[in-house]
Amino acid sequence: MHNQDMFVVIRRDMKYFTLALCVFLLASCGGGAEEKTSGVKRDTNSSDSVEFFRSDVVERATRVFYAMPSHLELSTMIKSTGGEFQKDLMHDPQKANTYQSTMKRALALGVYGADLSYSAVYEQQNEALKYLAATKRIGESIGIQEAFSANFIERANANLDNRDSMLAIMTEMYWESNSQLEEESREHISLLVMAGGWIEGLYLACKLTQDVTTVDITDRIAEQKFAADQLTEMFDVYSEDDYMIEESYEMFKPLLAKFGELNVEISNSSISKDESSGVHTIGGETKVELPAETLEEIKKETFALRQKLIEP
Amino acid sequence: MIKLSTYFMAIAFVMLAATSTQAQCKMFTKKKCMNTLAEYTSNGQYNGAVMFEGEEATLMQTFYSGKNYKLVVCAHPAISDGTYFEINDYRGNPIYSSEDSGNPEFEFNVQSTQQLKIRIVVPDQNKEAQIKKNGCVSVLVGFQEN
Repeated sequence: MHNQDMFVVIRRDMKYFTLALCVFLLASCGGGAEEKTSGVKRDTNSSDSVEFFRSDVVERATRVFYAMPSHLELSTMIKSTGGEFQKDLMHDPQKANTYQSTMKRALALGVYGADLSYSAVYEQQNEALKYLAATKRIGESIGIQEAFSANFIERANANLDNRDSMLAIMTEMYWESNSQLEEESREHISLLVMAGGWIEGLYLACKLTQDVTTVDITDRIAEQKFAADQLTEMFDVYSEDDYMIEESYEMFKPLLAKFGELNVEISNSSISKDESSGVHTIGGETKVELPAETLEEIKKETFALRQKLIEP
Repeated sequence: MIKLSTYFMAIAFVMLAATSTQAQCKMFTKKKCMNTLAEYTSNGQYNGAVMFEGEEATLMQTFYSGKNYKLVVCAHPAISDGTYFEINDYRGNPIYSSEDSGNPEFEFNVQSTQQLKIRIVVPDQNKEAQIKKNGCVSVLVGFQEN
């Protein structure tokens, strides 16, 4: 090939590469009607022109962060309703290495994370250690190393008898894994982990209703409608371009639809402040109606879904 | 060939810059924001992003009765002046705004469990400027038993 020909080929390739670069910049910098960036959904009503350093384009941009209830929050709620710790309800930690696909591993990581929180909240140190090992194993298999560094494991071992320290370490681990996934633009994995954890928490709460029939636990299950609606929205956003999310969404749909049927009654909100402590109280009644029949259907769907999630 | 290598280096730099902003945001949150939750237990959620002047963000989250919460909107000094948040109820009715006080922290509880929308606003301080300031903004939520 002559030098001149070669130059033409390079120039032609450069043209395509420039085009690819433009597509990349468009994708990463904005311009769409609805865009997901940095672990957030991003709605923009902006113009079509895109600059790396945008000015007017960003004026009407809105990012949306979604937050599901954390494992720890769900576990403390279960405990506060008076439920006893039931070791047999948790998923077998020995099965952590039986999951082959990334989707299954991410969902199982959520399940094990919830079981870890459940055992730590109930101060079951030996169980917590087993679930710590299981989450580490499965977390590393999907490339989340930072959250399970030797430092974390050492600290957990050293603080086994200190509930508060254990909870703090677990929260830090959860934050590390969550932020690592966001940082690496793997929000779809993050979504699956959250979804798996939420189902395990819901499963434990539903199982509890078989032993404890308090209004409190039923109310807590009913209130999961908000999380279910949020999860539905997240699945809608991310399933557009990810087959793993699409496949998972299909599994979750029957349960999410049951929550979707529930009515929410809301009275006007108010706010007051305790001047001595500086703590505000947001008033207003929000009531999710959960008929006994629907509760049974939700439990049935939850048990079936959880079974699917823990299958290898 | 020199031009070509320069071109590729420039591309690599742009790509690296795009990914490293997320890493910087995570580091900023870890070093400058996490400790603001003090005695509250973090919910473990990472809600951080680089925001430009004129941008807004919304956090949708359910808050449960029987718990105390602390909300912190932690912004990089480059954009922290004027950055504020609003709390709206499930229907979008305004409940609280930090615009006047400028206090980025808010401790609260809810009488009954409800989903709240927290709107974070980074105002455009200089509308004439072609290049807008930007910085990391993290929204942290901590909880404790009542």
